[in-house]
Amino acid sequence: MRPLRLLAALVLTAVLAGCGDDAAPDAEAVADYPTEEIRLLVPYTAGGPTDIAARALGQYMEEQLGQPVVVENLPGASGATAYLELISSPADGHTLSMTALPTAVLNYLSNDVGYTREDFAPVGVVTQVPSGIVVPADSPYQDLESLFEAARQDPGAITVGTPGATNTHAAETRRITELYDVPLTVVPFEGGSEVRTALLGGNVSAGFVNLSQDLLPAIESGELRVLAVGTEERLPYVDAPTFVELGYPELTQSTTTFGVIAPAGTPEEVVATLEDTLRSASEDPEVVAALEERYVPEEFIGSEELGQLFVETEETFRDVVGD
Amino acid sequence: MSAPPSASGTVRERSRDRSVLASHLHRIAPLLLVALGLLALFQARDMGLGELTAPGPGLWPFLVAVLLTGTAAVLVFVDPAEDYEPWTPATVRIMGGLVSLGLFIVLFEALGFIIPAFLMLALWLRVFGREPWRWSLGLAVAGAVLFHLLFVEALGVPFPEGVLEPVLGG
Amino acid sequence: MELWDGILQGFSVALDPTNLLYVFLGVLIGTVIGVLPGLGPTATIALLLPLTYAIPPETAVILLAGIYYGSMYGGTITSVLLRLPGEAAAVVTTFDGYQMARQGRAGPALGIAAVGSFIGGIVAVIGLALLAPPLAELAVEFGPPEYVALTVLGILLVTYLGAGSVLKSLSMAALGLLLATIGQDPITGTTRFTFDQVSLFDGLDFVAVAMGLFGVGEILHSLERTDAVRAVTSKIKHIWPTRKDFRDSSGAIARGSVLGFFIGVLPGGGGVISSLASYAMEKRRAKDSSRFGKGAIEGVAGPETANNASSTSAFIPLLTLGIPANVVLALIFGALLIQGITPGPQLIDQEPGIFWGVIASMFIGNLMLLMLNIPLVGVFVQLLRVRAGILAAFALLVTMTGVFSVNNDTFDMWVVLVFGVIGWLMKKTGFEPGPLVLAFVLGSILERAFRQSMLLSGGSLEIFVTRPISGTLFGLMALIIVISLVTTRRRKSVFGRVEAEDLAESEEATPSDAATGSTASRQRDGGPVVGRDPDVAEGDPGAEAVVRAGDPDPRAGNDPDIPSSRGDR
Repeated sequence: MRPLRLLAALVLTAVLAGCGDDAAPDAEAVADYPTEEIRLLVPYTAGGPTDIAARALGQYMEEQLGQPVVVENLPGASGATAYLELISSPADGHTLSMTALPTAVLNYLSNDVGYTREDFAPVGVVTQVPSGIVVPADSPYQDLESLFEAARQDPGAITVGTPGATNTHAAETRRITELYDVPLTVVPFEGGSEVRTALLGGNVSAGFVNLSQDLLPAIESGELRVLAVGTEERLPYVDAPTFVELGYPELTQSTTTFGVIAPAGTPEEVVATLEDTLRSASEDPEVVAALEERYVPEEFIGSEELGQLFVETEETFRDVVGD
Repeated sequence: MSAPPSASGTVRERSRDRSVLASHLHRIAPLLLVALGLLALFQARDMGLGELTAPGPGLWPFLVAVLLTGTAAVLVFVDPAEDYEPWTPATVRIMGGLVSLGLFIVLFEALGFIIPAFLMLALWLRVFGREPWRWSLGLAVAGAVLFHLLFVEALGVPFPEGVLEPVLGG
Repeated sequence: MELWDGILQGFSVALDPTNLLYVFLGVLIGTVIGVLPGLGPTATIALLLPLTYAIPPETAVILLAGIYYGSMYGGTITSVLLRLPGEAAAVVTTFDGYQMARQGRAGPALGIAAVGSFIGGIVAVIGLALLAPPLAELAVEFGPPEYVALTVLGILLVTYLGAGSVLKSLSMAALGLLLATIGQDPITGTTRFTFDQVSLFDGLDFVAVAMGLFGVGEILHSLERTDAVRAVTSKIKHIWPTRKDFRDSSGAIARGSVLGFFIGVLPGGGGVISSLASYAMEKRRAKDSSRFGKGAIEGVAGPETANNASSTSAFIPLLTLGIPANVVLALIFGALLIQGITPGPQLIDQEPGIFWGVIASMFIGNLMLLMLNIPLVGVFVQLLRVRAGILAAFALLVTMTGVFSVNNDTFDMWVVLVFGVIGWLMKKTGFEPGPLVLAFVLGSILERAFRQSMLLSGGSLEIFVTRPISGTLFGLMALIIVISLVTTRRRKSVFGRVEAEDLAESEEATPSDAATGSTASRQRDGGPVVGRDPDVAEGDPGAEAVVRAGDPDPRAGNDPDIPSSRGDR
């Protein structure tokens, strides 16, 4: 059959074409970086917080670096799909990815997903979103102590909704049980809005969630009450104590950090260029407004500190996830 | 027309005349399901069943696998043969169709959309659709280009980088 | 009157020329992508979302909502003509719609679907305007145990749907439930049945599974039977539904509207269950239930209506509580957040232009869809005049490409291929893909809700009967089972084909036919498959899609689920 012969010829062509792909970046390219279009991968779908941050950032980078920045959504496997694409791309700074901590770390701690933090070259932090324990307005628990006391009195009575099974909030809630002997039952839901539904319907006693922008109106209107926040210091926009001041100094790992990463092996000069761009972005009023001012760190968190954060996160959660 | 109400009964009687083996060949399908169910059953058990207070990852798959194995096991005995179609030599054509689709996926990753799309359309139109050559090739070219325009240009779907697309896309 | 003011304001927003244009664009895009298998509203809205950052918020929502319910109309077309259900929403329609097409009645099937969708949409828009706040409260009452009850009911209905044996349907439903467990465990995050494939961590994608089992399976099957590939064969009798068709389906449309509206309010599985419920209800009510699965027009009209009504009422939790009921609505939620607007209880007061404007635009959009679809039915029916071999080749290409675009992953194309083979084998062995696919969609909701319930109750099964809503639902199910056992006992074929007419048919078979099985296969060509299930959320084809599409991947960590960006201002 003639079509088949044609097909065979084409397969051969394909194989040959596949062999001539590009290799490592040369010195010249590094000096002129960026020399071509930059891909900024987003491990989640369009319209989500990560995507919106990426687009605001992408536009700014495009202006600063003088090359087009294309935002590409590669959702799936808690981000692994995008991270695997990132680390299989040439480490020349022309492929970058957004990342969300601690999810990115918890993901590889709990499953073999084909990457670890060592495959990444951290660039810098874009935003940080704090978390807290919330209860519905009609809940009998006015403060964290009464909630925890109820749990100690009757193990299993206090259920805590979290936005996922393997995310920070579930892990942090389990740490409460482990470190402070407060028997809380984690009930994982799909996303923060489901936790909210469960809280409003009285199906869980409390929720451990991100104090993200979609939740703040419910807190301001009094529909939800924040019992404690997971930051080192009190937040200016939420009237609630921190876990630290309530006597739980360990509970500061629940903040979500959104950052930018490159594949490991990206030349230092390239990372430095990108880091500078991120730093100036975090000072640009327009970008800051697009990212939501509350969540942009006051002091820029750069490549080294982000790398540090990866290490710390891994140390904190290694044991919790293990079992 | 004249068979008794229970068709399966008839089948059984008739097949006794022929070959007992052939009449029971169709039971392979539910048997396969039983095998699949049992496999899942054991895998689920290995995942850890936990208990009702704290169900393990394997509990739900275990329950579902029990349901599958159970229903399939009953089907092995009661399923009437007239529910099954016989195998025919034409089954070979299906293998050809499958191979062509598999090749399409492989080529799609290597060569982008247009060339494999053209090849697949041409093959299916000419060989399976029995269209004349002229129609097959014309439609294949038109289809490949049209879908390229629709998916890539209009909808912005990021297809794998193609060898022909840069020429076309400008 | 406050309501009146609101409606007036809504129309003043919706009738603004720019917004009018965007409603039209939305429903047009929706229809087109509904027709392209694979490329559902979720993928499209995700692709188009960045474009809405620059337009005013009410216009953005009007556009996106138009795409959403427009795709409901469009999705019918491929289900009826090619048996390619592009989303969970379309599976129930394939049952009778595709059979109608085979009998040359594709026109009436599509026509009645368009009319039913229109009526369902309008009823739901009116309901949305009048009943939104109290219904939203009700939706919140639905906790995990209620979802267990609801999804179990759905699976029960699924097995009741097929034209074949109940036992075979149940067996396929079990297989669907098993397939739904592939991927990360929703409670502990452990991976199950993934064979170390990262692509399987989120489970199988609904679109890929459905496209494979239905469309590709069908095409492969036809490859074997005839020399040249063929799709729908019979001559086209009418383009339009006859007066009798309208009479037959008017009840189904009325019931479907109400059913779809109320069930659609529930976040999660509301959509699929509403069309399933509508189909089951029509089949139950019919004097001759054996017609179902063989081209009964009520089996198209009811579920199609329910499906569209539910896609409208799904906006209720979003607009009144700020809770997105499915992935598509989560994307619309994201679009509003980007604009600095957080949907919630305060939306009606603070942004009445958006609330009422969207409602009014839905009214107008449904009207446009009806006008758009009536002539399109004629056009699409002509598609069947195209030689089947050509149709099959193009259907395959568009299926493969569409499936790729859902996740931009070639892995899903392999999934289509594998399920195509399974679908073909199922056809040969008399198993129906409908129960499998629908159970697959409901399975992950069911498992999650079941395990959440166990965590909440401390392991006690009592939780399912002591709560009023779930208790009532389980009571109802017990009743249904008892009744059907009694009736089937009478018909004497619990394990064989259940329907009386099936018996009649087998009587027709000559002995030799029966022996070779050819009669059965002939009957089956004409026959099977389940019908349509309205969208589980359209976008949320259940589980898989939800998982893949949700912003931060819901199964895994939702850390990022933070609609963080952009501030209130």
